[in-house]
Amino acid sequence: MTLLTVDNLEVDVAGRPILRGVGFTLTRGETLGIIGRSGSGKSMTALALMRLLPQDGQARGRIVFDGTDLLSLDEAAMCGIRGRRIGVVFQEPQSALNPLMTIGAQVAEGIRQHADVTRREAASLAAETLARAGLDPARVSPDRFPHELSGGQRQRVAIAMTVAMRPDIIIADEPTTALDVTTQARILDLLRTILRDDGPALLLISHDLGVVATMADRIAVMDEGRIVETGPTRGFAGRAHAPQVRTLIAAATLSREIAAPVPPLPEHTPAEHPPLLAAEAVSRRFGLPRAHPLAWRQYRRAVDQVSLSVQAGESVALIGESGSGKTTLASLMLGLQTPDAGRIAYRGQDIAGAGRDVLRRMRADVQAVFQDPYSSLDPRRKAGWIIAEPLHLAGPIAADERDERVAEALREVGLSPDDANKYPHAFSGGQRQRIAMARALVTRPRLVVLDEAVSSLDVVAQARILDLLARLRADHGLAYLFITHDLRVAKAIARRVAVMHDGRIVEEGMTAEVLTDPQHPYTRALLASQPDFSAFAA
Amino acid sequence: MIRAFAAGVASLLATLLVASVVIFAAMQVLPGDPAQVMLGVNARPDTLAALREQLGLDQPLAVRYWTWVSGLLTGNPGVSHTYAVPVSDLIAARLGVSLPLAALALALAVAIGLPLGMWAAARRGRAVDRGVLIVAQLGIAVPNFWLAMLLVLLFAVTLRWLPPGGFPGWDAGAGPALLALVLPAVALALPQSAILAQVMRQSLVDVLAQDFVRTARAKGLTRGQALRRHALRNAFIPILSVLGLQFPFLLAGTIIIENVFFLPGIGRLVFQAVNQRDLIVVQSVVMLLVAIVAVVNLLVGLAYAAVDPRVRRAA
Repeated sequence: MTLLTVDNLEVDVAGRPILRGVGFTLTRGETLGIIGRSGSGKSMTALALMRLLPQDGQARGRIVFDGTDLLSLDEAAMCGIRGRRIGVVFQEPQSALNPLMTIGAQVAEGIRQHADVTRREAASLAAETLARAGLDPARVSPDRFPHELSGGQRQRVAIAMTVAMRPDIIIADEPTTALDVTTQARILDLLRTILRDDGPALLLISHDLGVVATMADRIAVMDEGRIVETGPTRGFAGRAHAPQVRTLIAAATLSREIAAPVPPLPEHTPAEHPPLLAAEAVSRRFGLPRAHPLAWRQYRRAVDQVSLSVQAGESVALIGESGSGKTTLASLMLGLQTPDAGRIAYRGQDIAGAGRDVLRRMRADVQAVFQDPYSSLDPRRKAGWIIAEPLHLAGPIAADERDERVAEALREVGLSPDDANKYPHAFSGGQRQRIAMARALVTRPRLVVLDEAVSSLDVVAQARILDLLARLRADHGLAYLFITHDLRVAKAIARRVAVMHDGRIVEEGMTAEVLTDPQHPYTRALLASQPDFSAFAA
Repeated sequence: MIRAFAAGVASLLATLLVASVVIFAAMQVLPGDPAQVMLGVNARPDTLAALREQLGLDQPLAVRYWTWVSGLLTGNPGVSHTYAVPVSDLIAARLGVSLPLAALALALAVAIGLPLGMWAAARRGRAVDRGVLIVAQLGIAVPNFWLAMLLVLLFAVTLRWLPPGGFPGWDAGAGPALLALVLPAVALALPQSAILAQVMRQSLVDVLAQDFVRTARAKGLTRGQALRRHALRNAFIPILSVLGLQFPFLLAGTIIIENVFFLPGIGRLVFQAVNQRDLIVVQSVVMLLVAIVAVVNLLVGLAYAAVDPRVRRAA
C-alpha cells in the first residue's frame, strides 16, 4: 500500500532551481535508498518532505502522504505530522543535538509535543526509547549531555528521538556518514532492528552505495535535482542504464580504472638507504582534566611506542577508527608535534636535533593534505596565493617562476592555470582537495601525508582524487602516507597497511595479505564491518 | 560547580594581589608630589618636609604599601590628602550614587537591547530586522554625553518631568534620588542597549541556523517553541560576556555623564583625585574598580558554568 507519493516536486532556493521534478513512491514498511553525489538534491528532498526548507526556499508539486498533500497543509497541521508521522535522523550527530539539554530531555520533548503525557511519563518513555536505541541507562544515563557522548552514541540519541513516536516514515539523511566503519555497522544494525520491530518505511539517503545496497529494498539515483534511475536493489548494478549511475557504481566499487597498478618498489637495503621518513618507537600523551585542582594530572597515551616507516616511492596506509591515534601519529611525523619519547627520522636523521637547513629540506620534501576541504583553505586568499605559499617559506623566489610553478601544480591536479585567480568558495569539495593537493605538490615533495584527505568527498569525487594520486605516484615516484578509516580506499592506494588501535599499531604488512588474511581481532572486526555489495551487483 | 567557584575565588585573590602591587608601583612612578600640590609652588622646604612626614610620604615604599594594603583589608585604606576624611567614607558616599546608576543603566540596557535583538533575529532579513540594525548602528555612533544633553533639553527643560541634574542624596528619600538618576541612566543605557541588541541578534541568528534547531523543528516543535526552548539559551552565552564587560564600564566610565548631570559619583571622584595628586584616593578607587571587575568576571564565569554543561565539566 502506497504511503507516500512524491509527484513532480520542484524546489527553488533563492530563485535557483535545486529539485527539478522529483517523483517517487514509498509503500508501508519499505526501505527506499536515495543515492547521488553531493549537491544532487538528496538532502533538499528530505527537507522538502518535512516542509523544513531554508527560509528562501519554495516547493511546488505534490507530496501526498496517507491521502493528504503535505504542501497544502498549514503550519500547525504540519507540526502535527513532523516527529509524529514522519521523523528525520540528520547527518551530523555532532551538531544535531542541543548542547545545553540532557539527552533524556531532548527525547522526552518530542514525546510531550505529540502525546498527552505527564513530564514523568515522558521521561520514563524517553529512557525506554534510549535503551531501545542501544544506550543502556546503566552506562549512558539519560541525564548526560551530548558532549559527554561519542559520535555513535549521539547518533543513537538522534535515532531515539525519531523512533520515540513510532512514526510511519523515518527519513535518515546520511545517518552514518560522519561515523567510522565499525560504528557505522552498529548503527545500521540498530536501524534494521527498528525496521523489524516497528515496521516503519525508511527513506535512506546516502552517497555511500555500500550502505544503501545493504539496507534498501529499492534504490533511486539522483543527479542534478532529478531521479535518473529507480529499481529493486537486487541486481540494480546490472540493469542500470543512466551514465550517472554507471559512474557512481564504478566509483563506489573503485573498479579497475581507479586502482592503477601499484608500481614495484626497487629493492632497498635498509643500511644504505634509510627510509624517507620513519617514526621510531614514538609516544605522545595528553593530559586529561584534573579530577580536582590538587590531583595529580592523569595522562592518556594517544600514541604508544609506535614505529612506522615510509620508503621513497612507497604508499603506506594507516588505518584505524577515530580516536585511535592516527592523526596524532601523522602530526608527529610531520614534525608539527614533538614526541614525548622516541624519535622521528627524516632520511635517517633525528629531526629533533636537526639543523635549520635539514628541517627546511624536510618541509619541502614532506607535504600534507588534510581532511576538511572547507576549513583548510583560507577563504580570503585566491587559490594561486594558497598554492604558492609553501614556495615562499622555502626562500625567495622570482614572481614569474612562482607563477609558472603554481600553473604547473594546477595542471598536475587537473585544474586550469586560470583557477589561480579564484577564491576557494568558487570550487566544489573535490576541487578544493585538488587545490590542497596542488599546494602540497608545488614544492615538488617526495612524500605527501594525506590525513583522511578523501573522507568528506562523495564517492565519485573520491575516486577521481584517488585516480589523481595514482597518476602522480606513477609520474613522480611520490610516496604517500595515507591515513584513513576506509578499507576500500586503503586497498586502492596502498602497497602496505598498518592498522592502529588504541594508540598502538596492532597489525602491519602488505595490503593484499593483511586484508585477505587479517591476524588481529581488531582488523577482522574492521573487515567484517565493510558493507557488502554482492546483492546489489548480482 | 563548587570546584569552579573555589578555583574562581583563588584566581580572584591572586588577581587582586598582583593588581595591588602594580597599582601601588604605578602611583609611585607618576610625576607630581602630593605635598607640593597641596602647598603650592611657593611652599617652604621645611613646611613641605613636615607635611610629607604627616602624610607618611617619608616612609620606605614597603612600609607604605603594607600600611595601604592592610588598611584596605580592614576597610580603612587611609585618609584623603585633600578632603581630610577617611577614603572609605569618601568612596562609600560616591558608590551610593555610581552603583545604583550603573545597575539601573544595565537593567535598562538589558530590558531594551535583548528584546530588540530577539525581535530582529526572529524576523531576520525583513524590514523589522533592517530597522533594528539601523537604529542600533545609530545608538552606538551617538556619543552618550550629547544624548544626555538632548535628554535634559527634552525631559527637564521643555517637559519639566525630571530634574536636569544634581543629586539630592538618599537621605531625602528614595523617590527624588531615583528620579535624579533616571536621565543619566537612560543616557548611559541607550548606547549599551544598542550593542546588546546587535550581539543578541547576531548570536540568535547564528544559533537559529544550527542543526539542532532544525532537529527541534523536525520533532514537531513550532517555530516559536524551537526559538524559545532551544535557540535562546544557546544565544545567551555570548551575551554573558558582553554584560560582564559592560558593567565595569558603566560603573567607572561615566566621568563625562556624571559631569553633565552634576552627579557626585566614582568617576568624578577619580578625576578630581588625579588632578589633586590625592594618591591614596586614586589608588584605592582603582583598586576597588579592579576588585569589581574581578568579581564580575567571576560571576560571569559561574553564570557560564550554570548555563553551559560543557563549561561545567572543563572548569
